[in-house]
Amino acid sequence: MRASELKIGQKAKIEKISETSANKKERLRLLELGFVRGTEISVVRRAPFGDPIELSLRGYNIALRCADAAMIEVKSI
Amino acid sequence: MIAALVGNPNCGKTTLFNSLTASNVRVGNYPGVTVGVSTGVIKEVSGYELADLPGIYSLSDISEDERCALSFIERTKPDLIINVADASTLRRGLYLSLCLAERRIPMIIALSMTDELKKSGGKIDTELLSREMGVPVVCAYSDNGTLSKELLGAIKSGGSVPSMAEYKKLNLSAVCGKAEYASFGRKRAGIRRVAEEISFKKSKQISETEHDKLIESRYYAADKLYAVSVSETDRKHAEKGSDCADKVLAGKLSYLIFALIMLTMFAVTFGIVSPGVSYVFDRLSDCLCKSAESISKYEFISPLVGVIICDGIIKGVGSVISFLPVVLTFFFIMSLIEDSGYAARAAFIFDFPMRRLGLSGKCIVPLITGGGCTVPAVMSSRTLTSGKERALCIFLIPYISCSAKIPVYTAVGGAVFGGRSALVVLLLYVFGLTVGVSASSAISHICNLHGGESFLLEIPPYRMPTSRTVFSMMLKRSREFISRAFSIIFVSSSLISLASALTPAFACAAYPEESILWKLGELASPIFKPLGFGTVPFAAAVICGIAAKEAIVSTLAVTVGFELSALGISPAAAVAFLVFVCIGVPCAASLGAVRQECGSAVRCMVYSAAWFIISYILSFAAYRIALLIL
Repeated sequence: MRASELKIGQKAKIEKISETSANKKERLRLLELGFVRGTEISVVRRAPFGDPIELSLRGYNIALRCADAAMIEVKSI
Repeated sequence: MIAALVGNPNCGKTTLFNSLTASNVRVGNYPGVTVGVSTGVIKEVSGYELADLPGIYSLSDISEDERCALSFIERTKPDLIINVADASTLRRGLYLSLCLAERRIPMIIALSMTDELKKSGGKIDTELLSREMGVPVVCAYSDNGTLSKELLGAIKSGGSVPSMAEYKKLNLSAVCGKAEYASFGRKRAGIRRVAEEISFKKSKQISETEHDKLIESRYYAADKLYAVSVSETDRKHAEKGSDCADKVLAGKLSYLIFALIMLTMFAVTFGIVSPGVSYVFDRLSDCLCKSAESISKYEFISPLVGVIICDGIIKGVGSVISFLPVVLTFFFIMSLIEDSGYAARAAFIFDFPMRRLGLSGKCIVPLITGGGCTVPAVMSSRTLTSGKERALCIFLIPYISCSAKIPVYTAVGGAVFGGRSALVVLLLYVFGLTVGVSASSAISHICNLHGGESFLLEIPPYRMPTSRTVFSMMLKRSREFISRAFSIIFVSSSLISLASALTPAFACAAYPEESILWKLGELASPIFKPLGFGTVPFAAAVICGIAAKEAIVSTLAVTVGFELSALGISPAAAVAFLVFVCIGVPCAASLGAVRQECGSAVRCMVYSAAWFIISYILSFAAYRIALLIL
């Protein structure tokens, strides 16, 4: 499933970040921020309109748009 | 010898920079670098020049900040890298440390925010981490808040080059397994070559999977290092506090709370600080002017000298100095909002609505600041990573009426609409916002912008702002503001002040109609005839508005006064004038800031032309519509 589909408080492990020709930069950026294979992430909250979402990983919290979160393929744990 | 401060955004780099360099700071430009880099001389260790590089997460060629840091490291070749790492986000921060280690430049890791970590019960074994990485790892500050001796000692010793053997062992074998490691090693002769090739833009030689593996392996190495050297116990406790606060501050009521906080900020700055300072300065400049005039009593000194001193220098300096405390208060409050972590939440909740306008949530702080003064607002747009977004944001800032326009609204609006000047002010604010929003939506549709390339924003836990950090941020911004805006405001105010006091023959003007300013007004007034306010006083007022918007009021006060009958223009024309001021070209200081942030005078002129044309057309329309109604 995708990280944008996770429920609040739900934990998941990253499997991969899907790549398309359009999102190379965003993908690299996500990887370098720690969204690598095997990383544990969880959803902290969503903004009032549901977008962006705040994720927690590697001891810090980061907000990203649902469109970018949809690139992250995860497995729920 | 050159040292560079490198670290994640918001890790306390700038604070450390200010602590290390104290007063010897200048903002310089380095080859290939568009962002100005602050440099200074380290106080307590001789022979080092320190550069404060922008906050970055890695050394890849992704954003302008990263390119700047990379360019600095490659071209200026620092002798020492001081990697500032936030102790509470070390698990991510070590990634950058490993990227830097690959560069084989002598390095020190300076841990900041260690007091935060201590509060939540965590501990970092700096000696173990030092040994594992092969570089000195020290806390930046000692317990009593001063620079730690260990840091100064490490700088004196020049840091050390990280040991690659350990790194390779940790790194590749963790991910690739022995066989792959061997083949990887043979193909590319070591991680360092791989890293070099990627960073030096020869990435076509590295496959994407290899690059991914490299990033993964750095993170696995960072994880291992973190696991052995950091013990965290009660992080959840600190996070819970932030979490509870965020349920309110980032929840359904967040917009209302934000509005309240902003209103308070404006009330404090413009309700208390600004009038207070104006009062003091008016008294002071009156005194000084009287003394200046008394000099002209001596016959051998022409009265011109008195005028030059009084109108040229005193009024010029006065206009800047009275401006400064307001801007400083703004910077102070902005620094509080940033350091506490609230600024991130504001960007978080505003991202979705702003996207419709082609902006992202990060624009909210620059835009709100524009309500105070355009200059710091334009300066703070630097935090926006996307060039297109930044350009659009800068274009929109003047549409948020700055505080200097309020006296114009109340004076002219009050003359036309009697006691309902507060309503006039509100309507004009809304009008400016509406024009801004429409322009923004239109531009983003035409240019196909969707709120910047991506929105990735770290949300730090809330923390109590420390006076050290807040004043450090305030100092940095004030330095920039003074160096940019000071001279422009001073020169333009002085020139206009002199123009209103001297005749074209450079004698003292006995009455306003004799002055240079009046003559300029006569030249300019035909331009504004279609808008209804083509009279000399109003044209002269617009010219004065170039120096500062407040000057519009003083010019009109001297020439026509604020009785409806004496204004000399119809109520409809007054409306057109207000519209023109509301969305017109901002003051010279703002233009200076825009030119600085855009990097080119041409772009600035394009913006000015656009602002002028739009304000002219809408002012004309307002005049025609108002004629029908009033």
